[in-house]
Amino acid sequence: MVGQYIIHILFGIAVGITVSYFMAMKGKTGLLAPARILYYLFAVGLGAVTVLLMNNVLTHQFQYAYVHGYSSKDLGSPFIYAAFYAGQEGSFTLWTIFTTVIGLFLLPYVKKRGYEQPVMFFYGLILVFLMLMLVAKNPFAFLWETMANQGITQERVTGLMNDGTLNGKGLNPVLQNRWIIIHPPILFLGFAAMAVPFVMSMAGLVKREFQEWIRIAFPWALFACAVLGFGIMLGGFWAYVTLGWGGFWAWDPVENSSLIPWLVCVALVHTMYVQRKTKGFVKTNILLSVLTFVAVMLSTFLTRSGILGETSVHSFVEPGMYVYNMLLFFLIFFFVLGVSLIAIYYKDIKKFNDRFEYSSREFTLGIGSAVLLASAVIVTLGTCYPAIAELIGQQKIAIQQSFYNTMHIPIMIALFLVNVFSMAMSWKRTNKEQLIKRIKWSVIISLLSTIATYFLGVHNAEYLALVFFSWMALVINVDMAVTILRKTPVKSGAYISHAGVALLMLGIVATAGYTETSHARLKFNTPTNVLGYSLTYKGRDRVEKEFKDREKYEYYVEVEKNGQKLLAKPIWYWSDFNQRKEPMAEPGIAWTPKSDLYVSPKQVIYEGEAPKVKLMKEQTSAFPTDSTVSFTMQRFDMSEARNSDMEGYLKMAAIVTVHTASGDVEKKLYTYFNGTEFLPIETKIPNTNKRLSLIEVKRNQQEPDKSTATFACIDEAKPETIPVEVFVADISVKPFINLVWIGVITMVFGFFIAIFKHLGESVKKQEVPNPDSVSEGLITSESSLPTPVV
Amino acid sequence: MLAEELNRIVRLFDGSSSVRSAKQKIIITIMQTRYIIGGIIAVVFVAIGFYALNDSGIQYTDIKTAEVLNKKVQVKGKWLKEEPKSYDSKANVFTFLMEDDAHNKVKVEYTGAQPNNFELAESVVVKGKMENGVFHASDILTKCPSKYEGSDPNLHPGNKKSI
Repeated sequence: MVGQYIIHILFGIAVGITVSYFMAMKGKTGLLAPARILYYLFAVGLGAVTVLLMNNVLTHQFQYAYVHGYSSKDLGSPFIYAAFYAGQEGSFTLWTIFTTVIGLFLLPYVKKRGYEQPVMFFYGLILVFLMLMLVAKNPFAFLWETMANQGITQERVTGLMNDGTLNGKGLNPVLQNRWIIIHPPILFLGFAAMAVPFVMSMAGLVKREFQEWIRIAFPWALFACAVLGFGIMLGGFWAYVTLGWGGFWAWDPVENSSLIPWLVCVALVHTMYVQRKTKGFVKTNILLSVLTFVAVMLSTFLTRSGILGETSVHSFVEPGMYVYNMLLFFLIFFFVLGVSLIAIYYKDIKKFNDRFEYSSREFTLGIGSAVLLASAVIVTLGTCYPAIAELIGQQKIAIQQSFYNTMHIPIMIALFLVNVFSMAMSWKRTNKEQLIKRIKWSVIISLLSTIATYFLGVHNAEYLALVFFSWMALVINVDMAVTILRKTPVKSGAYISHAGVALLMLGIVATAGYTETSHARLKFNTPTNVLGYSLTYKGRDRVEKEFKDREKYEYYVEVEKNGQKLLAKPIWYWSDFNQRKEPMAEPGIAWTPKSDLYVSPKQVIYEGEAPKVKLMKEQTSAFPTDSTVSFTMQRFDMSEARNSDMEGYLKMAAIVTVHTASGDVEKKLYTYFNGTEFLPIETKIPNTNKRLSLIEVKRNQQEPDKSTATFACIDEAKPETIPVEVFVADISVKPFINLVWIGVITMVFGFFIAIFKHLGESVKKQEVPNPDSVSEGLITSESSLPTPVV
Repeated sequence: MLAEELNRIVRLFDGSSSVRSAKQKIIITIMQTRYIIGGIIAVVFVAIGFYALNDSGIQYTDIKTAEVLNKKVQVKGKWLKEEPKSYDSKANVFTFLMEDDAHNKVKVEYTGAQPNNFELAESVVVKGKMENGVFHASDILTKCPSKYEGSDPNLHPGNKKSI
């Protein structure tokens, strides 16, 4: 209850922050101090919401619908923390938390730079939006409020809580792995950070400072790109290592919708950089800052409104018309706000006309941003197309992944080409001889590398083109990064990032183009040749035994190639989450630097069946596959039944006498019984190649003598009688997939170097340096620069 | 030299005597040319985009239409839980019966094992082609009751083939 009140109060405070900063912006500077106090109050209140919600989750307060929906008593640490943001209510809370925390850093930052009033006013608007969403999707609603229409009453819930019998639905076990702790928070941090360039561009507009805001906003835009980029990659990695989609990217609407803001923000970062250096792209930067945030809102709308219901594998719960309308309203609101402010101040910015030479670095960077935007448009178009088609009354259609892949081949080639040129060009103007001199080596090395790649087996022309341009970008960026690292390491960010993107592309071509997959049936202990590897299923172990809600096994698949042995450990399990109606799986991966062997479990079956014999006391039967052997069921032995060495099972036994040519043998056959299933212990009959196990006991209460025992009779001479476990799986060899992870991490690392550099530069109130004196490492600095345009 | 030449041309056209304004006109002309070229590239790109979009879009339809169309389509419906289903691990083919939303029944053969969440699926979407009365599916999307999945889409994976 308290939580709900705090949320409502916080909404009020958010409005208060916005209004007071607005007044302060209009000259009532006396409101600045109260506005700040309100902001810190807001942060404290949100802290309280966080503590309350976390406490509800950790102490199993299932009377709250949210906790009931996403947590359960069986949920252990650390996954129980993930229940905090597993649902929409919680993830909106998390988004608000990150926005607020960023605001705590943002406030002193902009205060120091004289941007506090306008920045915090626009930031306040975003807080108002988030709080309104939380009022609508409140994580503190009681079960009897949300499920009133299903006849759930407060008395009943309270009663169940007091009994301790109420349990939550729990977290989908598929999600219970460490990545759920890491991926969503980073993604939301990135989303929250994308608001900063937007509010700063709006602040720049209203202050009519069209150059100044760039310097202040630049590190934040870089930060947003770095974090969201990393978050997206973690999602891909998660999908690869545990969800068993077989890959890291599926052009799924949810993936796409986080990619769109990232692409727009990366485009923004490039044009912002140009403005830092040349004062150009004034209008472009304001517009792109608006679009970045609008893309975040679009992403939120697409994934949370239920509009893409049938096109994604992710689930889209219809959140209700209210939330749908509100998300749509805010998407339009922020777009209209941005565009109308641009329109209002257009007379001030229209004088900034960029006159870039075709041969200038700024021109190529502009083209680069345009290509990135083209990619964003393509992804948006593909993602929204099913919804658009339905809206305009077209036939309902789903977009295949091939659309995105086809469109991105020219896009990626253009991007790398532009990247190579922009790295090799000088600001303002580059002359041809210099340009040729600078890219000559990268072309030669790339040609040789591409030829080498051809002989590695890449014969597809499109892939070869991608490989060639990736190599070119890689060579030129590595070359420059190495040069710069020797002189001024802090300037190396861009080169490291671009080298990372080139590595990523090489990884994508290798793994997307040349992954081989084969269906395999791995019999226990029998080596099977698959895709040039020798695979042996070596048995399994039960894992996570401490959890009663699941039965989970780790399977061991030994992978051997050229004498080198590795172990892949796929997982196959049953969970109460789906009432054990069907098994769930996680892939196993044998990692090597060159390629991964990916084992995706499909089924576990038994082949071969031992013939069964059912006997009453003192009855005798011949061994089904061998008439020279027979056995007599003497009696049952229940003396150890209550003394079982397996918890929850009775230990039963039957005494049998086996008659063979070399004489009689008496054996005690054990079986464990838990009321529903028997777990027999297979027993070898001495001096024979026969095995017996007691697989069922049927008691006859009226006439105990008519109780029956059923035996499975295995004859080692007849393989069809030996049950063998067969592990059925899809096996893939994924070449150079590590380049994908290395590429993204390198890219993110480069971003952070750049943040470090530009954060330093955001403080100084200096003139933007004369482009003539700007030097970016050896290659650029040797140029003597340029004559003015026309 | 070139600038002088251009100036003269500009003067011929509008009689302007100011070299500076003529220069600006040329700049504007160049700018406009850029926008035009840029615009053409953008339009061509969008056109290719739409073409590729239509090319890669798969129509939602029902079994009857799928039989006639003889191309890759997708059909939404439910699988018949009371009818037998089976997985042949040697051929790697999963077979089941489904009823589309227009109540046509059809046998579906899917290359692969039973997909995740199949047992619980309220509805399924199969992508593939009708051949001789059997629907050969290359992809199956399963839609579970929301009870089994949370509402944050970032956290709720199904199954999909990805790169």
